[in-house]
Amino acid sequence: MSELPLDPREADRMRYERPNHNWICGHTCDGCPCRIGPGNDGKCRATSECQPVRLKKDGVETSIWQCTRPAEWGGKCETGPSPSGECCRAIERCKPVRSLRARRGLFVLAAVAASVGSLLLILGSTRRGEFLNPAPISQLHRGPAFAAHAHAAGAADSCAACHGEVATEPSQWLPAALGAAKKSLSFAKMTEPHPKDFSRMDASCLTCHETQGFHVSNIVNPTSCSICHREHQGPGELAKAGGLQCTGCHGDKERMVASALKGRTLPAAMFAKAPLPGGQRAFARERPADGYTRVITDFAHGHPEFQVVREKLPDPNPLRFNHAVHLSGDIPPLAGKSLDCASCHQLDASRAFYRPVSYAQNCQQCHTLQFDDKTPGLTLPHGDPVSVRAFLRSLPAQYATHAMQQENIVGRDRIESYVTGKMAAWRERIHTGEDLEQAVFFSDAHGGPAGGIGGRPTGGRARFAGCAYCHEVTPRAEAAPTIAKPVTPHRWMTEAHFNHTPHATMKCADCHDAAASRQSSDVIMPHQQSCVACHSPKGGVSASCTTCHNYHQTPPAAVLGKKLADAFKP
Amino acid sequence: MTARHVRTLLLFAGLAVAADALIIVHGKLAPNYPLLAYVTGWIVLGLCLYLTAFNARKKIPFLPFVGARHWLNVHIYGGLLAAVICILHVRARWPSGGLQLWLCWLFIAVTWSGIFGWWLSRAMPGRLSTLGGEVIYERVPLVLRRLRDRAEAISVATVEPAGAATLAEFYTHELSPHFAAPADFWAHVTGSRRPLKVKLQRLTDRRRYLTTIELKAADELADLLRQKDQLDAQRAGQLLLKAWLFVHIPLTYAMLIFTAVHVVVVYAFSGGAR
Repeated sequence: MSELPLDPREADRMRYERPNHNWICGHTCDGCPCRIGPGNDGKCRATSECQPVRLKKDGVETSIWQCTRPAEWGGKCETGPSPSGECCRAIERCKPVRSLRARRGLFVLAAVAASVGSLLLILGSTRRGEFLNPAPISQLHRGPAFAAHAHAAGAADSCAACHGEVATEPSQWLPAALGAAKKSLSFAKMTEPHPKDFSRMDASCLTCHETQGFHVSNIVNPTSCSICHREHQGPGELAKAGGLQCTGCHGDKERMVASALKGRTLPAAMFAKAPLPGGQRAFARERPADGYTRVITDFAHGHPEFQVVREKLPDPNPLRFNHAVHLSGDIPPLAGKSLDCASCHQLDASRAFYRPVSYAQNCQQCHTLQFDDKTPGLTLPHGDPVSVRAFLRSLPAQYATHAMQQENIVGRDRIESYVTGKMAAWRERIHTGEDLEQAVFFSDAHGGPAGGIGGRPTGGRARFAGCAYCHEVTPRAEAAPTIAKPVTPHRWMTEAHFNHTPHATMKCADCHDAAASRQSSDVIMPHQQSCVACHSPKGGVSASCTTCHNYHQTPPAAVLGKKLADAFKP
Repeated sequence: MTARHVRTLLLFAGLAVAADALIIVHGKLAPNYPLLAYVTGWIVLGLCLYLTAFNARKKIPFLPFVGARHWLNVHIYGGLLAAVICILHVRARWPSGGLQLWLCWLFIAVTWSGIFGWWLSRAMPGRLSTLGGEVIYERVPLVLRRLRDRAEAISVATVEPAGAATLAEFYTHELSPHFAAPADFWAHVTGSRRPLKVKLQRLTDRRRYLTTIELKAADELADLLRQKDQLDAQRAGQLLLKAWLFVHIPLTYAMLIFTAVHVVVVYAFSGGAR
């Protein structure tokens, strides 16, 4: 293919390529632009092809006008200037057009204007909130109920309940933004690990959720609610915390040291645990000297052994019980079934925990209080030593009643004979009523006044060896002895929550080594590592902190005296 | 593989390593730096402002800054890095709010128009050189005028000596609209040769009706048609090289405006929350 007809070098001499100018000659598209070109204002400046000058002769101007058209534009014209000095070749005027670059500039201006305009329109409209809302808000923080709640709290609307007046007054945006930039969102804060980040927004949270802002009294930096609970993430529930947020503090050695130091300065009342709901009993244990400030990075590594196991804390229950014996297999089957955990332990209504064991429901079936092995069905009352003593002191009457009601003996003589025989047998064995009382209360099968009061009854399962067999019995002068009440805690590890139901696929013995427990003081709680076996990345079950722990704690009374929002002000 | 390709590959590898490092570092920092989203946001905004300054740099070439070529390289790879950081900023989640959605779409449009322009600036110059007949875009009308004048002159000049107006009429009806203005933009953008072939075929179809003198002129017209096609191809390519900026730059400024509103709104409404 041949070259284009216009030599680029020739074109260079045209001197009209000014892509940086905003306007170009209107004749350019015809391929014949004028050499003057339009002005910066976009107006055609064309007049004539040259500006004639007077011809000079010997340095003196003459009356003859001379054409000055440049050579690259054709050189001097044939006609030349008019006698009055005007160029005869007028240039046809054009309507200049914008250069490509200028058109691009217009596009930019149009885009800027459209952006600003559309933003002003939307921000000035009633749909401003919808436009600015980064994502739907959680279900609890929207709707008529929340609006009413916000209104009751003095907020203009639902948005203002959390965001304050910036939600309703756009004029406040810039001052609020500048204020945030200087304080809670300053550059220094952004680049600070674990900044003291209790913010204005958190103060809004605490307006309604005052007590939920409490974690522990020795917290060094009150933690912002939004670290765990991010709003505007969708219409469902407010996002729940994972474990990463916890290890942000609990995995930080400096923070934990500072927290421990702070804890030492606070009175014990600041760490008092709130009682469990419903009058439930908690297993009492001392708060560790430095609180819970050990550096923990995950459950498998760094998490301390459970305190009850680590410190081998004893079960304070005064009841004497031997798990090993009951699970040994020596005990005859109950209803055709060998004793196992489920024989005594049943889930409570919540299906999360087990009901405390009680005599009436779990022991009586085997451990009847049949103190006289010759008189099945005649049993001591349970639960009150005064009643037991009264029962024993009215033993003839009790035998008489038993004879009538249980043995169906009728007739005064026959009843008296029955009672006399029973009492004679006792006198032969125990001698006096006082001795009988001593034997009943203080015998424990191994020792005591009688070494064991009852023999194995014919139809019973376990003989009654005396109250002291199971209970701590303390003698009192001139009164019935004191029997320590069994105290079984409802919750053993109150710092964590647990649910037995999801663990139903496991055997009880996988976690609770009851078969090896011979002392009633043994607390048969699992070791932490037995939990780790499943609750770890290797085990494949959730091992996040929130699986067992809850950040929000009920503030002790000493803390409740203060207003949390004030106490945690940044 | 040329040195330029090697350099590009190395830069890409460097960018991939930097992006990986950023993702890893971000993942490690996130738990301990709850305000990290603000940091990444400011980095993205700073990068965008710096990338926008490239346009200003082109307007003030006399200032002793680093060469435009280096600015362009930084612009390209800085832009890609900004995209990576932006993904970290939004936590790799698609936004759902109106303002954020608009901002996200603008960022995507600016990024992809930039990538398209980058590809164009690498691919198109080579294609234009292969085509031949390079001409400055602003001079296309002048060259077109010359071609048109020559074609008209050739066709008119045959009427008297040939004693026939067959070729002149063919030029008037078939070719003069083609020579009057740039044509076949999209065909040249896609690299199609069909428009030229159609016109040459029509001219060939007329040849049996032409006299000897007209035949010679028809050969010259065919040559001019090829030159016109070459000129149109040059114009289409160069126009495309300039036109993508009609998307990239205006959208960039629109994005910056939306970003400014986003920053103010986030700072005003967050109240320190993350």
